[in-house]
Amino acid sequence: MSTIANCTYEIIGWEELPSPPDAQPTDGPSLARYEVKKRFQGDFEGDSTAERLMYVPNKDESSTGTGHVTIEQLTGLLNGLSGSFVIQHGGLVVAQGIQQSYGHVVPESGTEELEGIRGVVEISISSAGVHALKLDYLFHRENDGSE
Amino acid sequence: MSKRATATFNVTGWDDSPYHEAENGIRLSRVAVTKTFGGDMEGSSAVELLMCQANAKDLSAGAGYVASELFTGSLGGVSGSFVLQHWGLMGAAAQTTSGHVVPGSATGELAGLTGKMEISVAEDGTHTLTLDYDLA
Repeated sequence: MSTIANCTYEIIGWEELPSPPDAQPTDGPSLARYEVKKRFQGDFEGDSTAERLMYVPNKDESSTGTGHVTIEQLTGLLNGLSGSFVIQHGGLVVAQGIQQSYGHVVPESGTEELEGIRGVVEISISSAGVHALKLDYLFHRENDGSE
Repeated sequence: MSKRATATFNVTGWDDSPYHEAENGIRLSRVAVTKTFGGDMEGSSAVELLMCQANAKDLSAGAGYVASELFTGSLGGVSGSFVLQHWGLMGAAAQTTSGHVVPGSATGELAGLTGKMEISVAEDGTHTLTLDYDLA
């Protein structure tokens, strides 16, 4: 049986890092790399550091491509359990105003009281600009055979 | 109507730079990868991969990656370039991958390409990329 955790977050750091030269298209959208720091409130209380690769439309051309992939390590309290875990997620703008996103907890990335955590992640931004993360999770532990 | 492309690939370069290594074994790294493709995709790609290994000493313990991949060559005989974004999860329970062509990223005769992809690894180690795509 899984548990759903809802939380909101604020972006407290957004730093552009040197972009990877080899995977850089010569035309069309360009690839940028960011380090993003967030602070969470709600069923998860804590902070995260994320590394994000993002294609952004090239302003000089008519290209519209945009999409990102992110690996993010969260540390804090999830429904009162302390530890850290890693999520990976991404999103695409498939048409104007239509986004598709996906995300998962990396298996076996949980530590301390969060050891064995698995789950699915959904990130959304409300029309008021509030960033929210929904985590549907459970614990897989070898000893008790539970899924 | 969508077309399906099936291509095998070889990893020709793997340059791994860790940026976070914790005492408990969790390792986060950036990996610059190069690949060559054969089959319905002929050409090469440059990939920027972000990887999380749950235990750096035991890859089967659990891992995940996200990737941005720039492919240049031909797809079903049509030439150009495009960007794929994809992810994978590896663990004792299951292996999963999924990904998309970044809309608006294709150039040349492939301009307008959209599609969805997955990667499978055969028992003999052959990596296969399957791309279901539409070319407007």
